[in-house]
Amino acid sequence: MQRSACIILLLLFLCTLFGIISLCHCYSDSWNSMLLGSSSVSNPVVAPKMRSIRMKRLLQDRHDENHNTEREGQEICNNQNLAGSISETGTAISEARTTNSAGNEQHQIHPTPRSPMGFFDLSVPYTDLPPPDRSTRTKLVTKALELGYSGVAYNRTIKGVMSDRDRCSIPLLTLPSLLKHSPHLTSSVGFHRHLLGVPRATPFRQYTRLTVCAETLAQAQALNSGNPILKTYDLVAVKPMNQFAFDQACEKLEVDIIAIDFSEKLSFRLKQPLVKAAIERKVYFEITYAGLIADVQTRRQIITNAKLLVDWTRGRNIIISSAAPTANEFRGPYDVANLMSLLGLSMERAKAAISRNCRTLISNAVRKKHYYKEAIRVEVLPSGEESDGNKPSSSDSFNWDPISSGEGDLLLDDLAKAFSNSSTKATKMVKAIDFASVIDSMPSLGFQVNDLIAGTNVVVSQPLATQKNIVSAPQLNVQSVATDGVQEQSVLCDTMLERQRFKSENPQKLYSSSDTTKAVNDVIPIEDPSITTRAEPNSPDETDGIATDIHGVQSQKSAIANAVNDVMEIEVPTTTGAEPTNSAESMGITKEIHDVQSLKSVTAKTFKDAMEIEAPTTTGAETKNPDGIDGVTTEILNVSTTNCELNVVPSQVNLTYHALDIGLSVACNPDSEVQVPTNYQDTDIPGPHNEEADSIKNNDIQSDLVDEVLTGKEKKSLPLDSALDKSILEVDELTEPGDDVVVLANQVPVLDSSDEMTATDDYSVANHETAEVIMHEQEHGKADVELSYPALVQSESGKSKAKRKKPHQVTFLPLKRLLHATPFKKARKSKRRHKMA
Amino acid sequence: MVGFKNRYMTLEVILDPNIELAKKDHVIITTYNVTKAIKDSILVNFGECGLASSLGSFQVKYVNWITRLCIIRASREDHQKVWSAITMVRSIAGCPVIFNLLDLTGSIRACKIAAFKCDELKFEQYKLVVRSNLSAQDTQKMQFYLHKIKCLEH
Repeated sequence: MQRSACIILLLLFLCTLFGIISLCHCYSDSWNSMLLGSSSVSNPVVAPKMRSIRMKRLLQDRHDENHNTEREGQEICNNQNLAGSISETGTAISEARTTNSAGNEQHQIHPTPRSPMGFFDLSVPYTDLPPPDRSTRTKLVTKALELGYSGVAYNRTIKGVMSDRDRCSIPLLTLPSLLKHSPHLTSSVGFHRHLLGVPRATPFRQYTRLTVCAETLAQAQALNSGNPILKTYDLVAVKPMNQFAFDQACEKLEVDIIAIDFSEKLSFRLKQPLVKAAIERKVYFEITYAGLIADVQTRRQIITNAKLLVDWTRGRNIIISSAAPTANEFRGPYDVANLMSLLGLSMERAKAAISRNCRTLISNAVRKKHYYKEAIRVEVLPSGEESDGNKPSSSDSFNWDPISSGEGDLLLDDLAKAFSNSSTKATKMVKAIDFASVIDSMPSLGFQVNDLIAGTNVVVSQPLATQKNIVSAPQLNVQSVATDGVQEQSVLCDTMLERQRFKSENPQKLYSSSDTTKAVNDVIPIEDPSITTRAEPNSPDETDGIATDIHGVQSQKSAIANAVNDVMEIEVPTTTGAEPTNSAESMGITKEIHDVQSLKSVTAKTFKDAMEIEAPTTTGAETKNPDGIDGVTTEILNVSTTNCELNVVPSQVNLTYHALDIGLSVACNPDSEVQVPTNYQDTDIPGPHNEEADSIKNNDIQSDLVDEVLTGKEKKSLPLDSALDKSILEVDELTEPGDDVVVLANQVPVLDSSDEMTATDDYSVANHETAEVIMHEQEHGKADVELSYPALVQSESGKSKAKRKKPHQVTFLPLKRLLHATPFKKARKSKRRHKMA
Repeated sequence: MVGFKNRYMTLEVILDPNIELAKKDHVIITTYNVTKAIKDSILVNFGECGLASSLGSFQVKYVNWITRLCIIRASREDHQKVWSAITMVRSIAGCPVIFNLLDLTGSIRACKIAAFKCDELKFEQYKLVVRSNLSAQDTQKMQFYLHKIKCLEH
């Protein structure tokens, strides 16, 4: 009896054991399939738990602490003597991080030439007072320039009701005036920039900013995008004085910055949901540090109050600026970043706050601005007489306008040489694209200028008609389509012109999405009777046409801007938000598809060219248009496809950068790069109508790309998280157009080959896409986002489960380990390497 | 193995950033000046205990009044505090100053290399500024200072 009972118990026990084993099996199988060779699952050796925990932490932290995780990864790497493998990732940032955190014995401050992220001080106080104050500003700016900043924004504060007097009238400083104050500026600037890792030839930018003190509802409501006075400034900030104003600022007001005066006792509370809402809307909070330096009492207040903000925002969406009344309170960028540690901001975040966040802010703001401000600027300039001064400016990624004084050009000798083909000595603001002058001035870089002109002429004339038809439709979707299309075209125009500049100039030059938008505005020929200088819409001269187009834009600016902003907002959260970057990529890719299709609706040959240009850099064949002027397009492609991409659809700049990153990573390995387009081709041929399929394919492409980049040969060994890591880097890069351009510049020749390959891709989506389809795609994209997100979550949880179950697997499934030993080992290394980097 | 870790900061002192004083009123920076100014700053901002804890490793190792370069050592735990305190120094002996960090290293060797380079570059700039007034004495002094950097000890 007892024995039978024992036997039964034993049997039961064995059954449960087998059940557990089978469960493990199932899990592992599913993990394997999901993770494409889950190295984490199968690597049973060498402190798997520790590594897994770290990996998990890395994954979870990646949204917030991209840098930190990578540094952690690097530390782990160092501990395990894998530092040598870090350099596998192609981005300069990773290398910089390696060198940065590699050892205590190394220099810890100076970044190796990484993504050249300039430092900005977005709050140099400006008052309307008579000249004596002018010199203060000059001294401040001189100091800023000397200390290595790449840009400043002159901040003007107004209270009460805005009137027409408040239009921007801040005079930008010129280099001679600065040199007067400090004759040996050049050498000092060069010295400091070299130490900071900022390229010497970076132009020094000046922006204008308005801070509106908001108290009442009326004042708050004035801060909307329709306000013409606000549009005269580059940046708009709100200074809430009470709780209501703060609520409005966080949730509704269309401002770039929320500037709270921390030096006095706060009259309102910083509530977590409000702060969160503001972050999601891409509004930045500003902390000024001059008070910390100036006075002991203010120091106390600032630290108390600002610490609250830092806690609520967890360090995100913060920018640091000086608001220094005199040059005595000004400090260098790294010193400022260190001061922020007093507020609880980590060094990484502080550095980002003073460089990357500012840059994002500026690029967004200037992009928004140029949708409708160009009209005014264009009026000033005579259309046919544009000097080359504009071109190098326009090749900048977001703002050469403030450099109207030719500030940055004369910094150093080599910089001046870089601008040798442009007469940038003259103080000219960037205006409409002047093809004629550009073409004349540009040294020929093997570029078929005539074809370009022909192409652009076609561009100018055709879209006018088509655009009008499209734009007239009242739908918001259509408008967004039109803007996208226009952007595409402008991309083409811009890129063609800028390409030449790009090569001749400092690789630091960034493409101005602003220019793209300018061209966008140019092309949309919406009538605006209010603008007088608008000439005949179909002028053969391209500049004129563009000028008129710009005016046309003005009238519809609010609507279009809203549309574009909506488009932007849809995109941006997905790309830079906390969602898995993979989904963001797919979103971006679908957006690219969307844009391409919208372009199609507008249909100009050059549009197709533009698309073709974009195609290699973005997701590839989807944007291919077989109808394009192949001759022109190939030439265009040959020049700087990557540059094009940056300008594609300014609202999607982030996404293009994203795609560019993908291209970049691919470009590291020329072989793999060549393979990439083929991948695209294969996947795209089936047809565009399966948008979801496409985006899913894109995901696959992504992972394939990552595979190729990292290991070169391994197929499924790369888990999704490595792709995620890549996209982590890319997310960082998303809002760093400059960086991408710089890196891309190196990759231009490499990518050209891929371009040619893809040039013949069929854009199977060649059909007219209506707005509904586009919106449909957007939804698809969103669905993809959601699809991929749970997948990712699952994969993460799966991985962690895998790690936990590893010991069991080791004992029960030794065969499995043997089977998967070799591929996973490599994958694991690559994954770790990838993570580290 | 040396368990005690330090951080060596190479800073430059920018005198009179707002150009308020005449050139000749500029204070000559010395080890003593700088030490005093920084200690005061630490005392004000971090209190007695802050000062006491950072004072163990805190030392101004090298000051060059011609090129206005200085090397300061701090312990690894406190180097951020000391650095913040240095940033908040507003004046030395009545002359408004800005401390600007050029380099932060973990070892004296790396610091010497960086400081040497910075010193040379800054001396070039100084020569540009002074131009004709450059005296042989200054050049000699510079040689002396550069030699001093090389001899810097832990």
